[in-house]
Amino acid sequence: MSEQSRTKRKSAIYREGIIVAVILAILTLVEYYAAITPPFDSFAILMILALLKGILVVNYFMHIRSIWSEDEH
Amino acid sequence: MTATAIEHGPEHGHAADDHHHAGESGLATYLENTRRNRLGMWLFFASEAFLFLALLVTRFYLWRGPHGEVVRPELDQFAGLVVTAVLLLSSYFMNRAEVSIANDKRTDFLTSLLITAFLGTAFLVGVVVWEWGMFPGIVKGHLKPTDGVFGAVVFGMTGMHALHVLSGVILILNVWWLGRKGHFSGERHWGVEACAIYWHYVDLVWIFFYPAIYLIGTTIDVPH
Repeated sequence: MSEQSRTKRKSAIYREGIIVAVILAILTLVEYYAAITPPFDSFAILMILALLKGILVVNYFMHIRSIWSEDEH
Repeated sequence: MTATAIEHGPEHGHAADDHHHAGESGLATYLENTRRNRLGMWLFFASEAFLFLALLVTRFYLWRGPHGEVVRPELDQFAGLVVTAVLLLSSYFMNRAEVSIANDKRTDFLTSLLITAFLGTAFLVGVVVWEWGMFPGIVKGHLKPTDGVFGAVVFGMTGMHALHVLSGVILILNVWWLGRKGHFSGERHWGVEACAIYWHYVDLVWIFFYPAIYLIGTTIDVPH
């Protein structure tokens, strides 16, 4: 891998962390406002939002795929 | 050929190549061990999930109104949102710490770890001061552990979670200390990865606890 593409990959990984954090923040705000705005305060809607946040964390921050992958350190 | 072989010329090439192969085989063993460790860590998370799921089930089973509807006690919504935001932000910095050490950026790695530990401590202080009201001179808490099923469940859930946050902060500071002394590298940083995924797991638990405690259900007055 060339130095240029390696640098690109590094910045992409940093950017991915920022994007995930921003999406999590937005979903948390949506959750908060949904809870005080009927009829969006239902158990199903709030749990779906929590599930979406959970999937993001497990996939991008906890790297669940690395259990099966061969190349990650 | 390694840098050593190039520096010392062809007569040292074989020794350097042997060293290189030994290094490669050491790295292969390390990666194999890391894969096993990852699996062990996820099995640990699975066992922990039973504990936290039991607490969640308890909340939805016990917090019921007179007609069976889901209810919740009146809690400080703003405090809940702030501590949640602080924990999410700490997860971002933990991820940044892990990415930094993977890219051999030690200063970024150490700084991000310290910020994560600080935010984790801020979360703990937020829960203890705001929600538990352990310092009534600053903020009077909304519930006491003795306030029936509401007090018991809130303190049970937040207490068990806070214990994990506390152990996470200690783990982060331990990794920071080792990192400061030169441990970990871009190739070998399982210790950092384990600490990071543990921290994200603590965050993951709160992602479900936050709506369960603060958002879901109709608010009711809890008699003190």
